[in-house]
Amino acid sequence: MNAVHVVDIGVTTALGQGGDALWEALLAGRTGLAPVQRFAEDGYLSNLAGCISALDAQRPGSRLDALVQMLLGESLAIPADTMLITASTKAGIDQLEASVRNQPTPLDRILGCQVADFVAGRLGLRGSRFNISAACASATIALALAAARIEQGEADSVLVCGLDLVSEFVFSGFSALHALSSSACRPFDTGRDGLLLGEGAAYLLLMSERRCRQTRRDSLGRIAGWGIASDAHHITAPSRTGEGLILAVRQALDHAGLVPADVAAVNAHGTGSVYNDAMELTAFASLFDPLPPLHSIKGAIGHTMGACGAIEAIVGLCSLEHQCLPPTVGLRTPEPAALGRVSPQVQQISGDYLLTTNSGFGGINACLVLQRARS
Amino acid sequence: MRFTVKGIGWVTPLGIGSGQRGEALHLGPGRLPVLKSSQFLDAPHPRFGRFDSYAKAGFGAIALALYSARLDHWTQKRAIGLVVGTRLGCLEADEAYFKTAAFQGGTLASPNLFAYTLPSTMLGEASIQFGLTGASFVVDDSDGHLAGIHAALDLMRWGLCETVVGGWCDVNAKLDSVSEEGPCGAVFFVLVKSSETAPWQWDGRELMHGAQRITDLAGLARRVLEMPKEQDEGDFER
Repeated sequence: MNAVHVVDIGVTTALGQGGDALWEALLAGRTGLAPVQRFAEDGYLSNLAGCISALDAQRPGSRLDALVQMLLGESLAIPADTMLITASTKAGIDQLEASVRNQPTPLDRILGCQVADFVAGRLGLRGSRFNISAACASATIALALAAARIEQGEADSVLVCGLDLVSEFVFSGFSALHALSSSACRPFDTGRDGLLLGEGAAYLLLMSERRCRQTRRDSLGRIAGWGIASDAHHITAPSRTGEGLILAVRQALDHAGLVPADVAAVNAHGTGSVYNDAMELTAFASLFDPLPPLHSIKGAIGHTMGACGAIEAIVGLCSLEHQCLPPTVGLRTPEPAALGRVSPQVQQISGDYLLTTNSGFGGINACLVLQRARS
Repeated sequence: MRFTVKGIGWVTPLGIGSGQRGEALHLGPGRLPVLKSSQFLDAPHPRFGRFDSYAKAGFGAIALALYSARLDHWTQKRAIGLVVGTRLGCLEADEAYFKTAAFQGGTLASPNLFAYTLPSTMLGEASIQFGLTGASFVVDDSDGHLAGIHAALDLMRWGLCETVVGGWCDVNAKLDSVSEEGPCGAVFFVLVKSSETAPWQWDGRELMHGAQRITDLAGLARRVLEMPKEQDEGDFER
């Protein structure tokens, strides 16, 4: 079995561009959630989202192109034989919005495959490529599939790129489902009342040990385990028992050859919705004794949907490197089940392994075990 | 990796079937017939009427595949995975939903339609109906319409699932935003990791049945439907 190394990362969110900017803003407890500028939000439950202000301006085509441009920049060098897996739930859905409103627009980013083609073309990648769609677990599953390919020796270099936009399409939908908070995203807080959306993009370049050495790249950490499981319970609500998440975490730990006590910290999905956070705490209580320190970044950047698994994997690697968890922004009064384990302040951690989990519509759950570099 | 094919189900403009009684699968363009949950289930499905054409066809073909594998009834949830390859996914639901949200400030946005604006929701509905707790995701379709099958087989090869329902689903009628030719419908297979004597093989690049290389969905289905029962003991039954 080949070790799976993360050798390069990039991220763009409402908290800025690049991993350092995101990490520093998270440590400072800042939030990128602000009133939405790009569409009229009067009819919706909330006016807040984690938008990247540079994407607000109207433009021909999809905002997705500008998001990709921000993420990849001008000089990103990825080996041309690298396989590409993108993860996006709604791709360039802003083009479909324009089409429904009878506004002239190209329709060249509305399919997942078009996103993968665009990113591959932008980077000059000649390897195979495809998009994964699995609701809010999309990027986590994409990372798991990429890691499996490298572990099995079927690929040496795989780029995973998660990306999704804040659009009126998705905003109105979560509002119609009464899933949006009207005030703030407060993961694991007793007063939480819903999620807030965000947009963002992130990439992680995964390589085998051999390719790392060949290309003289340093490892930023490893993906040591992964698991994917379904609740088989409800389309838009999680299982109250957390059974799917428990299965996914157990798979991931087994794959990594670890026991729960080896886990130093958890980067939870933590949407700030009543049912998701309760489900996660139920699942973690059944898996861990005691519960390790945990946190969520969705109070800081919003729920970035198909991209969140990639962004949170990057934050997880930073957490392992610096041996601390960023504050859970929005948290005021922790749920009793998370008391002392989740904090609005930076938490110190100690260990080599961090769990990052995501769950989504359709009852899908996915989990990665991240391992500290040089551990 | 060797595997067996335990079941097949399809919904196309030219017919609905599960390989029973010598039914043949025909792929092609066209419009799907009106679909009802009673064609696939013993009891009415409470949300089937809300599904878009993609979800109806995909859910129906999964149900028929599980029926033909005798896995449609259950008392305990099973660690069976679900993977679909699609190009257009739920675009019909996307268009229908946003027509409710685009006007009057979004006050008429339909939560029921919004829930089906993810192509993976169809898989979620199937997982709930049939108690399937394995890995589940949507992958881009590819030439030959085998991407969902390949991804399903990869899950087994990598040890993430022992049984996966994998297939293809695309419905290209009734779309305003995309006009595409090509086959319409859904075809799913119940795939089970098997012993070294099984005739089906997947090595991550080539799908083989004996010495025959399978390069497209129609070829795979034809091979499955032609397979003598005795060739794969306990496998797919006609």
